[in-house]
Amino acid sequence: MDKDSTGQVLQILPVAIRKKVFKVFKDLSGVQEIRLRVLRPLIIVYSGCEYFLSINEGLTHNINKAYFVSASELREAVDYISNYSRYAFEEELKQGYLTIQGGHRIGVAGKILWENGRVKNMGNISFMNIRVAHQVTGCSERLIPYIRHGSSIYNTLVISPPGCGKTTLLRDMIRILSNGDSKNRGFTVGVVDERSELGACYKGCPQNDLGYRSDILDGCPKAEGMMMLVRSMAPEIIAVDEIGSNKDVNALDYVMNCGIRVIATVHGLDMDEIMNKPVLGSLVKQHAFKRYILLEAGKTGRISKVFDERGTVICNRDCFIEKENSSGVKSA
Amino acid sequence: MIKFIGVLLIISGSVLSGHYFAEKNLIRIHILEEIEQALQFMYGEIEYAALDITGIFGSLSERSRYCKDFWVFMHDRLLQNEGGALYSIWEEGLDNSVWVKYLLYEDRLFMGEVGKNTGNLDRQSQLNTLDIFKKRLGGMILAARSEYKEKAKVCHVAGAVAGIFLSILLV
Repeated sequence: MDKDSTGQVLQILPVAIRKKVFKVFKDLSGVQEIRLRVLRPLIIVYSGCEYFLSINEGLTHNINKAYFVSASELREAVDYISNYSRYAFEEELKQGYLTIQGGHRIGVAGKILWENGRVKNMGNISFMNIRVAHQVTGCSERLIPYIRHGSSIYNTLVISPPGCGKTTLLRDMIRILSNGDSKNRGFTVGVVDERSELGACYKGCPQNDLGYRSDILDGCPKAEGMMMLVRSMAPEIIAVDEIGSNKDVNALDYVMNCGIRVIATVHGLDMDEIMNKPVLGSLVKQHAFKRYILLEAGKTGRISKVFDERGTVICNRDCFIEKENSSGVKSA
Repeated sequence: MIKFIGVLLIISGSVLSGHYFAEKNLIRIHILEEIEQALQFMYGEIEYAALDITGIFGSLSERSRYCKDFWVFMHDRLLQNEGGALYSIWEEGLDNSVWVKYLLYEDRLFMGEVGKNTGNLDRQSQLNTLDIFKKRLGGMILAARSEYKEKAKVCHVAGAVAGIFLSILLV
């Protein structure tokens, strides 16, 4: 992680906590999460393990030595995260998260104000989860040959349970397809980034690398966003994360019928589960998608299988392991 | 001859100080008008661009004349994230600003109130609050303008009379 990115995370921490964290980590490479809870110990998830920030110096597992976060410190952090402008992040706060410079994601929880069956606002923010962004560049490199098709690509669906790295994989696929390489030209990719997870736009600027030819609709509902991109940006490929509703699937169908290729992700355990989804299932049965990439449950970023439109396995985990061994590169 | 020069100096000094007080009132009006424009700008940026307050202060620092140093200070301090609520930074900025000396006590209180009610509100409340401030400020400017001519006349006359009186007394 570069200095800028480390600084961006540290800058949103309250001054007292910032100094302590900076003493422990000069660089936040291994830090995955920083959790602030009012009148509770500050927790740092580092290289998959959970630690308390020590009241003295360093990290500790001993609760008696842990640094407790005060209410005023949380207010201070909220001020920094929102640039002292709660009104500017009202929509993000309603959804429970916001993205800061560097693409880092801040999840917040507190008192919800409910009106007409919808979240109106969130007040008394007392819990905060700072998720440090780590873009895994190159994680989809070995997948790309399976989705390329002449001078175009196949409509592709990435299937995985939550937390297995499908968004990371999709982000890297967009980057590679958008950039192109010495043998393959780059595509104009339209990205509908409803939750700002792919581009992690901050003030309109993507904080993650999505390639040279990507146009990002940030914070836009997927179905509407896909239609807008078709009309306005003439994309060759449209990429969307976590399709779910009937509206999304219908929009995907429309996009495919416009001659635009689609790369999408969906929550699911296996092909059967996807086939049984009411609307998406019918799209699958029509062979609208030509490639399905299945990620292994419980293993972050591990590709299990690649299927064709008939559900035939065209590549499995072994293919990737063989390639990894022969090329000596790390797994996706 | 020396007496004549002395009288001339006293009278011109008094007239100039009368002129200074009259000008001070005019500068106050200009500053209030600039603040009114700034509030209108903030309103627009919040309503149509949902720009955060740091960005708004940055933009104001580029277009402001009298209050430039204040907006620059606010923008820089908020970017530093070095602690303190927005209101306390705002107050510090006002205390360090030269143009505040042209304001009346109630203008200064008004500016403090603007700082107290900026940033930490939801969008609708923020817009409504700015609307109220704009109306109040509009009233203050109107009153200041209507008083200005009379005040200026009084200042000029008082300056001249004071000069004559002093020269009679001293010479």
